[in-house]
Amino acid sequence: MLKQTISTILLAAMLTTGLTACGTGETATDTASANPSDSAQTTTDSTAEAAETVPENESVPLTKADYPDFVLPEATDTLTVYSTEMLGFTLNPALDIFRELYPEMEIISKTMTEEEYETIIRTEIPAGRGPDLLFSYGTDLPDVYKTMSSGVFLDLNPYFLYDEEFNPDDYFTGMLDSGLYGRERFLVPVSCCLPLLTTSAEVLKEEEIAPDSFSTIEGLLAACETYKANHPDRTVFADNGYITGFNLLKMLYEKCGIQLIDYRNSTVTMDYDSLKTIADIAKLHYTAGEQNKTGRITYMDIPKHQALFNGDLTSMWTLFMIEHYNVVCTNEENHLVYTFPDINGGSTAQIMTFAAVSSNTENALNAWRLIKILLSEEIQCGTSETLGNLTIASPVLKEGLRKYISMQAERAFYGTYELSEETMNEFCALAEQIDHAVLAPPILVRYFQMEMMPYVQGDRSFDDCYENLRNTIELYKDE
Amino acid sequence: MKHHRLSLRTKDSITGFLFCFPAIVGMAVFFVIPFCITLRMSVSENMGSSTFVGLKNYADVFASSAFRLAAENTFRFFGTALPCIFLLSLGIALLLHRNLKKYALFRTVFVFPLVLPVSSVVLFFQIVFGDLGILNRFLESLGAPAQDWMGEHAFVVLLILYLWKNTGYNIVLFLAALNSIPKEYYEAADIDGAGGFTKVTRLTLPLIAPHMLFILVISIVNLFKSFREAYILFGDHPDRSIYMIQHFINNNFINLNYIRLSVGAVLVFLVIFALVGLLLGFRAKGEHDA
Repeated sequence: MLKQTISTILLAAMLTTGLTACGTGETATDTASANPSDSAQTTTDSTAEAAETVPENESVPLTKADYPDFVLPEATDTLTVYSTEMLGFTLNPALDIFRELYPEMEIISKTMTEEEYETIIRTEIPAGRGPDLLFSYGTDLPDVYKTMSSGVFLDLNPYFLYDEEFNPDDYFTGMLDSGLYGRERFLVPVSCCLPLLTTSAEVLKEEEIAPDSFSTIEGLLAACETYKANHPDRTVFADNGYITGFNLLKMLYEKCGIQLIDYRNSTVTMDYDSLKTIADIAKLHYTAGEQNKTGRITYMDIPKHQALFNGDLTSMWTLFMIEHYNVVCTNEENHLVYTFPDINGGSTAQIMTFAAVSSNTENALNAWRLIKILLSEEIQCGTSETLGNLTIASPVLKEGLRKYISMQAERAFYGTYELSEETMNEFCALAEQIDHAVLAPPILVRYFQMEMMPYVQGDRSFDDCYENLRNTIELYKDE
Repeated sequence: MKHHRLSLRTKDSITGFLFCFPAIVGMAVFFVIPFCITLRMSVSENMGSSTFVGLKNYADVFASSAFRLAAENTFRFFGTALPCIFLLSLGIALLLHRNLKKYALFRTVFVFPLVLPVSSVVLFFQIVFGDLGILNRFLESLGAPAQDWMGEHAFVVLLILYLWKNTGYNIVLFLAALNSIPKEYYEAADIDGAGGFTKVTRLTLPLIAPHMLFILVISIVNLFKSFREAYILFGDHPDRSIYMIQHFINNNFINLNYIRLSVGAVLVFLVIFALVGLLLGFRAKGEHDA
């Protein structure tokens, strides 16, 4: 009987182990009505528990008194960083400077393909291994805020406070503080992207749209509606061959500063009106069968008034932005550029690249030194990647713009075109309007696109789509 | 000097062990060791840390409303799907067993869904149950409103998917069990004047009871495997009615939250271990009583 019992238990264990492996191993890879009481509940989890130990007033600046026991770690002699070819455009010059400053250090630098890099940071970082310094695109992690809450990154606030060589005032505060998670600083943005709306004064005049009417997303929607009413067969944004309704949803999510989740309090923060406005803008741009459409409207068609706005809503210093300016001015129209309004009526930049230090590293000081180099003027104003996006170092903003224009002017389709000092000042003023920067988690962006697209296509009501999205986000934030 | 020779029994044991050794090694490397690592992770502070935190992670997971919903839905699906498939497949097997003329044809028909590619199954269900699917078109033609099959009625669709795909396999297993019963028993029962119901309840079911245990275990395996189609059909965050443990585990994998994933996996293991242990215990007890 005893033998039978033991054999029963062993057999059950083996069967169970096999069943568990069978049942959960074959998951596909890339690849509800909400209970009001549940959605109103604030779920407590470890993140919220950590928040209980954080001072209530998070707007009070931190001082050294908040980290009384902190001492800068002792120097070690190694530093491990991973990179890709694209990230190397910024990281390699920074490493060269690091070698010059600290010749005795051993730098272990691995360059890999994009796929390998994504796999490495998705496996090694959560495992507490990987590089000492993570220098990455904002979209490499599926949800960087969830990753931050898991404790894999080091709080860099004490380094900011105790390192006398570092002056936070040299940087755009809104962008620099985007790396804060509550009162802990896990990320340091290295470059950002300022979303812009570009058009021409003549287009607005012809469509009877006031030039200053779209400083809010509601005003932007009204402008789009006016244009669409006048030209039902045209797209609102110059699609440049790839800006479909689906892609526009992604761009709008990122540029409007939407945040579906308050990670610190573990609550869903979906604003119905803002989301509907954004979905309506995408709906106005959407054309049935757009993916199979031949021909495209580009920024070169703006002077022909074939679209209201340039569709490339990205960086201020991109080639398209400069080209658009060139094209409009060459056609003797008046180029207009605005910051894209966010849902709060301000301007939100998007973090393009960031640096973070592993919480398990023994080389924290070296990692911090490399971060300072990445934030230095030589890098912020010196590499094509940081120039192509928006530098976060305020003193070199204009210099960077001047440098980038001279780099790109030779490539302009319409020949070289110099920006006047007045125009450059106007462009720089746009960057200085930034309230803050965010990093849109790709996984949430995808959910937003998938759930809102049926509304954009006219297959479902917005309420249904909103409810489905809410169900998804409620589940997601509790996982 | 005396030569110590191994007894025949010992030799047999060693031979048996050697035959089993590759399987044991494979089991250890691919299942047991990873599971032990998972177990350790589930009681660690975070992925790279060896700090033991006791059951704190388990408390966090149980506090998560997503996990509680997943557990509730999983138990609800188990409780609904298992009896349904059991009764359905047993009933059909008993009917087929009575008339064996079309046996091969029906067996093929019922087993066919099991061998269909996953993408075909998903496509079929989208065509039938989608918003613009065949079923809604049919309902609209009758003047009835279209239903949100993939949302509001997702549980029913998932249940149909599971039954459609796996009933055939259980039917084949039940038929094999029924065929193992000697005909003489039924002839003796006929002589004793037993009716159909009596023969089934007093003769058939007790004799196939050992097979039913195996079929039950296979049904549980297939229940977990149905997550594959469910994931493709409904996405990683489906309607709340079908958000199950596998979704919770898989989504934590996507979010790189391996601690929660480990906790979920261990809890699933414990539940299935208890369930299978219970079944095997009943079987052992039954054999002992016999």
